[in-house]
Amino acid sequence: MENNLIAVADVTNQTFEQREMSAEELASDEANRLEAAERAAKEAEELAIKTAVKAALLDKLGITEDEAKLLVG
Amino acid sequence: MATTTNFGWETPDDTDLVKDGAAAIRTALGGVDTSFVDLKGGTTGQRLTKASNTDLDFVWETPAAGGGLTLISTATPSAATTVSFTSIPATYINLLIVWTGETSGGTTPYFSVRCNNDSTSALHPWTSAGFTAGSNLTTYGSSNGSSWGDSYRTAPIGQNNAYKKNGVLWFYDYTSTGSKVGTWMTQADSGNPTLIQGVGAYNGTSAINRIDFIRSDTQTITGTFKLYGVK
Repeated sequence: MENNLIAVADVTNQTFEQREMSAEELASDEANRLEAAERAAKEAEELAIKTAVKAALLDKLGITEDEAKLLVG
Repeated sequence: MATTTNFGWETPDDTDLVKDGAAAIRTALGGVDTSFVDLKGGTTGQRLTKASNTDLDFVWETPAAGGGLTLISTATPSAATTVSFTSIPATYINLLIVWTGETSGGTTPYFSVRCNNDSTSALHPWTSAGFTAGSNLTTYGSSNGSSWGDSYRTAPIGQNNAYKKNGVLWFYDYTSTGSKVGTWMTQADSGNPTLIQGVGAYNGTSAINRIDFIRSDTQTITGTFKLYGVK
């Protein structure tokens, strides 16, 4: 079962408790995770595009990545 | 009438009669007595402070309490998904959170920090930089953040492993209605030693009264988090 405990320190009332998240807190947690997953997917997509572009460019030039590094110093 | 050079206290003229000496002494000392009246009084521990730009205008004051750190809350999450400090009073100037022995259960990424439970996009811009043993400096950041460290896997608390991590997070001028600045530094203590430093801002207009460490996936958090108020 997925963990859904939230640790809350109420500073004014000097209390600390760890409890099950409320429905609202669960929704917020879900939204945070979804947002993070979307960002991760976007990053992966951007990285994949960069990698593909680099590979295509090297192929077009007919050189390896190490040779390209030597060319640009 | 002769006077002293610096304070202008009245002294006898050279031609004054000796029989008037007693009165002259009283006059001279009366001037001193009046000039230094502000030095009288005060209590143990008080300090003398200028009350105005006028010469010899002093007042005794008790030094304001403050300085140092006041521990105002401790959270000890155990396999929790979120750590929240709520109802933070606006009675300090800065806030400091120190965490020790933090581990992130699960194998997935990071925890980030959100102020006032405010997920509005772009209100938490941030940048961080990190070193991992044997690797070059890596920078992270987002000008469009909804929390500090929300875009990458090693900030601000960090790594997706069970190594114990320690760190500090400062919030400066947290009751300001303008931008509030946060800075953090965190490290992993074994396995894959890492140091991460970062700076962020919370651009909401309210004072910070709540701080959340939120997760990016299904990982959990364990450790000790201490919140200090700083004056």
